Amino acid sequence: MRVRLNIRAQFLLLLVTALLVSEVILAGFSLDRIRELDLARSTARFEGESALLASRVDSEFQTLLHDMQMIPRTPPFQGLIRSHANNHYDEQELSTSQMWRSRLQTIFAFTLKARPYYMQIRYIGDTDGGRELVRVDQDSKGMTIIDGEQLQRKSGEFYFQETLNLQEDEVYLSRVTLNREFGQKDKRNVPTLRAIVPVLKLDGERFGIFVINLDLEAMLKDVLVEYSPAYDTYIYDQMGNVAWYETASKTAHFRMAAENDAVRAMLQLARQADSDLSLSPADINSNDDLIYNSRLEIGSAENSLALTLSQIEPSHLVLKEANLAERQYLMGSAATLGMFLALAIIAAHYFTRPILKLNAGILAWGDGRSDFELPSDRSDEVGVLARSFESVVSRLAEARKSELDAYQRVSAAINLAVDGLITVSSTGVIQSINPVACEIFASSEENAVGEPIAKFLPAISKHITLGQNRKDLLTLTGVTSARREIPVEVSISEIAVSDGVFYWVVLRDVTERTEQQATLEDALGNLQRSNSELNDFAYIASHDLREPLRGIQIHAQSVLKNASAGLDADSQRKLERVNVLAKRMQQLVSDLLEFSRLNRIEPEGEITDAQLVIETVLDSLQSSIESANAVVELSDRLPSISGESVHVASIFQNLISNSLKYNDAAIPHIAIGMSNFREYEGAIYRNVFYVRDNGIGIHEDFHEDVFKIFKRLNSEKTYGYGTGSGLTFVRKIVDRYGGKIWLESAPGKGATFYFTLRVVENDKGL
Amino acid sequence: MIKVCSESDVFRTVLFIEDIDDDFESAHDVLNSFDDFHCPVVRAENCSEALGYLDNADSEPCLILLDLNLPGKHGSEFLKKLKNDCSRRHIPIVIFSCSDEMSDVNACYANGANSFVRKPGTLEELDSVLRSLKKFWFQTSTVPHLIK
Repeated sequence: MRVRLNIRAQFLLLLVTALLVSEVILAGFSLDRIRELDLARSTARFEGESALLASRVDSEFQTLLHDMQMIPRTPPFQGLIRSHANNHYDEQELSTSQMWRSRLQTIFAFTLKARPYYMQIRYIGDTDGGRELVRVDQDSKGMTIIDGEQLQRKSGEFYFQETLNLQEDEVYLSRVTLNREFGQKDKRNVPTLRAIVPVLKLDGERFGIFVINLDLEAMLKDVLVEYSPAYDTYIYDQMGNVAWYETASKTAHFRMAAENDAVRAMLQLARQADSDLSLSPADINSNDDLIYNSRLEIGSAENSLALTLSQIEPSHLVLKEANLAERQYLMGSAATLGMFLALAIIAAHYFTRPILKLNAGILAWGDGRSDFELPSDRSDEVGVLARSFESVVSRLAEARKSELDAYQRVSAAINLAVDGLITVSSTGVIQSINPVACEIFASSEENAVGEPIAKFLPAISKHITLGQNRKDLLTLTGVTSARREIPVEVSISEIAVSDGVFYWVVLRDVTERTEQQATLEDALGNLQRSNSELNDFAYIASHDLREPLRGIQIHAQSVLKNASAGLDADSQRKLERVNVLAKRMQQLVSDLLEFSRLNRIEPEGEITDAQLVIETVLDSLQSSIESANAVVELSDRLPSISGESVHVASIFQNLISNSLKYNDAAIPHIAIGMSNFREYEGAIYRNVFYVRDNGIGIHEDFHEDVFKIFKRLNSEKTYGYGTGSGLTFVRKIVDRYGGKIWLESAPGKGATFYFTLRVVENDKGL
Repeated sequence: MIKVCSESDVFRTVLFIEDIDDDFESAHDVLNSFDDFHCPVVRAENCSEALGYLDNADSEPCLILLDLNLPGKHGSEFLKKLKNDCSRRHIPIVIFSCSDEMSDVNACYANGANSFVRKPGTLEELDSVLRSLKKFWFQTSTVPHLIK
């Protein structure tokens, strides 16, 4: 699901996100650094404290080791050896064994006095089962010199056995055990560390051992309390004997190995800990304690005492500073975030308020609740938006006004239209109807709207088809509300609108026109029929007239030829006249036939080179031209035209013949050519052929008559016989080819006949 | 079997199909005026009469002169009928009509007419035309002769 946020929410989200991201990045770097530093500081403190504490402990042991080195070098040790070897009398120093022991007891006693943790100092001889030779004990009550029967045989003790092979000056540090007296554990339960060096005779043979018993518990506890480390601190050996210091109570404790489960667990943990200095803050969990181990080796490698010093920072103190800084940082961030959020809400409100105000203004205007008032005087984007909106609205208002005007005009046009106009829904129901349509169907708008159109135009349904646009006019039968059938002319247009289509039906009552048309068609039919009959008549008449004429002529000739001897001169002349008249009638009938034939010219068809035609015509008229002493001038090369050559030839033949015939000039002059343009009766004609002569001319009154069939302007006696049909033929041919013919002439001024034929352009390069 | 008509043969008939008496008469007169024309001319006034003659005659005519504008069936119908008949299409038919319609002329030749001669309007011309016809068909060309 997609969540849609308004601008305000988006703005807030953006700000908060930016802030969070920046804080997280900053915190990531700085807090990490702080933790690192804090850890480094912890480690350094551990290190320093461990080192100091270790040196304290070490110095105590160094004192012990020093004593172990120095005391056996005192003279009574060798004196006792010598006295022992010489039946308890030392001849060298003149002392008995008892004297040496007494001296040693003094030395031991002084030593013990200076060393409060020393519990016993003993000189043990190898002979007599490891009998103690000199022994001084010390406890809290004071010092006791052990003598006589109190001296014990120690050859059975582990430390006696383990020190048999010690070299000169080699110090043995024993395991920590409870002190034993006469083979029994000391009741005081004192954890005891024994330091032992061999005592050698001068010749290097071993004589015995020197032993110091150390109260480890007291020593370590004192060191710890005296030092008072800042951390809980454990000092333990390999056996698990441990002294520890609790910072809470500022007290030190000691336990022998495995005496206390809690301590054992602690030690277990401490042993696991590794004082790895490369530990990073990321490795530390919130409930982890931090343990610092340092190791202390006392004595020589073989007989050393290895102590471990573990210091513990409890979990609540680990990275305490860093955690505090982190908490402060988080609190600060939260405060900043809250502050920013508040600021952002205010800012968002400030930014979006004008937009909302704009919107409210628009809505109010849209509902008509108020005038159009927008914060268009603002200089910011909201102002720009408001101004744009205002301009759009004003344009819309103009458009709406012009739309309204247009609508009113259209309504008026529809209502005043001469045609009936009906809009029909796609289901064939009348939606609107104009007064004319109402009148056609003798109905009213109230009665018609909502009715199916089929009620008025039953046959319309098969013409109203979805997706079909009928622009052509249909003639359908309409039914008026008085159930009278009327012919109507209908056009149907499909009009697509947003929610489908509707049909625009334009209709016209054509009752009157249909009647007129019927009359007209009748008349036209009659005209065509009579025209055709006339044509047939002309053809048949001329054709059939020729037969009797031929009979008359041939019979007359036959009589003249065979029986003229029996006729008088007048009869013979009249018979001759019959012959001539029959011949003339033959000619007239032939012309009539030709004329009716010209009516059947089909203008489509062949293409004729007018130049060739005129040359042929001039050839055929050669003798006439020569006998008339005429000059014929062909001024242009004539183009190809659409028409049969025989008809084109007929035109030129007739015109040129007339020019020769009706000419009194000494030298008849005939010019033939073609003009590109010629004006006649206000119209411009292209490619106009002409035949011009210097003949007798034709009076303007006869310019039309000359084209009438058999019409002659001059007596046959003046210019010879003619049927008077030549120009009629010419005009008929030109007419049939869709051309135009006219003449310019005046009596005595010659005549020019102009005519047009369809020139085939670009033929033969013209 | 077609046999060549020779001088020694009996003069064979010319069938002249013409409805107008004047035309037949003047043409017949002119033909008879020729010294070297001896063929009997049989006249039929219309097509059915001509067909009746052809069916019943002992020998077929050596030439048929046919007018086009006939009462009843038009001459061109007769022409088509004869020229579509295997047993008679060899008989030469000369159209002798006053029509100067080129369409008529073309149609007649297309239907198998052997010649189209326009009926002249004057006696002189008639004489000249018939003389030419006689010279061509009876003295120049050889006509087929079917022996029954």
